Amino acid sequence: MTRLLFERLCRALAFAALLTALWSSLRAGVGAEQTPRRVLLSLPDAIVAETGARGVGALRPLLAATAPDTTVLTLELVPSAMMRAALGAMSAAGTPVLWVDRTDASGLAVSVSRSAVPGAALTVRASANASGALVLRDAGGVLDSVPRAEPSLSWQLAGASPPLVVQQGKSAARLIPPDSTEPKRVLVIAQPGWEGKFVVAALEESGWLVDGRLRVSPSGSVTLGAPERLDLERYAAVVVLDSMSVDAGALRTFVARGGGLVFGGDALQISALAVLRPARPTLVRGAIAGALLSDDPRAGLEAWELAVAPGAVVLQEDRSDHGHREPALVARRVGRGRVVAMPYRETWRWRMQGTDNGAAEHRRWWQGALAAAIPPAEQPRADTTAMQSALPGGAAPYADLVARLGRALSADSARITSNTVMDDGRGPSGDIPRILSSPVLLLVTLLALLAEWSSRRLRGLR
Amino acid sequence: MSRLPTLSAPFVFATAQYESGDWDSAPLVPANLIDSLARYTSLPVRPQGVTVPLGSEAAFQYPLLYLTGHLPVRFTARETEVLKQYLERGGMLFVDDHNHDVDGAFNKTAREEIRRVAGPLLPLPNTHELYRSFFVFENGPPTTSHEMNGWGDNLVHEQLDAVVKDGRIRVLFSNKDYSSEWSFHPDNKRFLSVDNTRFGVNIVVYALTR
Repeated sequence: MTRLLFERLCRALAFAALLTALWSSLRAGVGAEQTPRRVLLSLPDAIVAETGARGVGALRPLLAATAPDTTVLTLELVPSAMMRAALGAMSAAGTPVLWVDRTDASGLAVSVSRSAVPGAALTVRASANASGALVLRDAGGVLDSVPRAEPSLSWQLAGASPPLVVQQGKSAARLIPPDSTEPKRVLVIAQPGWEGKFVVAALEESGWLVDGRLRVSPSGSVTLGAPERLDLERYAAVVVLDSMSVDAGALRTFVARGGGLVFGGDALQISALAVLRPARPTLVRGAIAGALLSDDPRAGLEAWELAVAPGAVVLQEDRSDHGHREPALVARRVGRGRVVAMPYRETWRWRMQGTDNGAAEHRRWWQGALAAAIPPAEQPRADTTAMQSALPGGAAPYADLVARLGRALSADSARITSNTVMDDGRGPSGDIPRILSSPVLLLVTLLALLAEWSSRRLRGLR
Repeated sequence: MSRLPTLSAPFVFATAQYESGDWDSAPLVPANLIDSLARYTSLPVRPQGVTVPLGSEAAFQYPLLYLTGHLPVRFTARETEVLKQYLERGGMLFVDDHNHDVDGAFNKTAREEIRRVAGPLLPLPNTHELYRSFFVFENGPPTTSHEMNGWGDNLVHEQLDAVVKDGRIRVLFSNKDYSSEWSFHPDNKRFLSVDNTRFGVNIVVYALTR
């Protein structure tokens, strides 16, 4: 009686196992059609932070083992640039990558630039959360630290040993500042006169090397510096003041290829350069007597009233006695270059007839006008010592991550609802107990049927 | 190439008027140099020169000033202040010793005043660009017919002196008596085989371009 009960139990167990296997396979089939396979990966920090190709190499087998439809990463560090690029490429290739933010990182962005004028300081700008201290350092050590970061911070540095690193908590952005290489030269095209003399003086006092050829007679000219053919390799910008003759074709080519051009006063009347000018001169407005000695010295200069060209930008304005403001510095892009116009006919009077600060103000004015015409020194170069910054996004890694993968999932929405979870990449596990997986059920079925068959044989039955 | 009419303001030759001494001892020099500028260069030049009180801020309108005389020079406090600012801002002062006498009153006092205002005068090399700014003077400043006329120190002065700042001549000082050499009516140039005012053109062109 007991043996009979045992045999029936074995048979029931085998049936139950077979039914369970059938149920689970049906469930898996339906689930595969309705729910994409979402794989949660919790990547080790070593892989996330790996700056070389090894991190990507370590990621590849994990993904190959699971072949997910969607990958959900739990990140405790902002991935390296290489890893961000790989994840971005994966997402773009059709395997969406979602991520859960456990980095505790801030949206840190940094830029560094150096105006392409002699002796220009490095300008480092950082944007960060106000939540924590911000540290600026270079290869020589900490340069500055700010206890509470503000949305926008900037530093002026005379120089820095690369790389420059701005750090807030676990977030760090590193950049190589542009070189303070010898500035190129400036070509001045002018007639001999006080305006040309004092503009050249102002530029030279600012550190520029100035070339020019001033025609003083039908057959003779005075040479400044060592003028050569107008070429971007040699010249950063051209200043045209009041010249009787210009090679308009060469100037147009120079600007189109990336050179700077500054129109001073009467140069705006040169019709051959009309296509380049950011503003058209209309009427001459007179100088206000005594204004050179006031706190608004430019009002003491005779100037053209300017009609700003479409697409041009007014960089500075002057107060006008008409009650409106007059453009004082206008800029526009032409090709790859920049063109700047100023309306003043005789800026030298600012220097000679102004206050004791006139000479310095005149120098700064011309320095500023040139700086507006010349693009800043090369955009920050990537830190070539670390592979991560050789890829784009080094200046703002967190922002780069968001740009590539989208915003992070909230912890709730990241909760696993799908059929497979990978934990630390060590092996698959799902919401079906391991004991109910098909091989186990098959084994249980076989053992149960074998036990029943053995019992029956021992009883002499077939 | 496009051409425009000449637009820049004309050059105005300015003579410095100082309270001590005889600032107007060479009244024909401005007209003569203006004539030479018009004759040899394409620079726009105003036909008449001006006289500018050295103690007046009007001096700042003329970045080249010509100063000469025979008598002792003592700048007033106001003249000193204006001249100091004038030179610091980039003006150029051309001083000529009308006595051509290194022991003369003008030379001694004018040098003292210049030293007080602008610093010491130093010999200007005869290779300086001043001597090539328009005409070429291989041997430096041209000798004048007045240097060995029995008056003054009776010397031929080999060099001019200058105060140079930031590579530019601020004060040019001559003992060669160009004030006598150039003090004649421009019409009389036709009697000269070589125009002796040519160096004056160099000074003006240098001032306008450097």
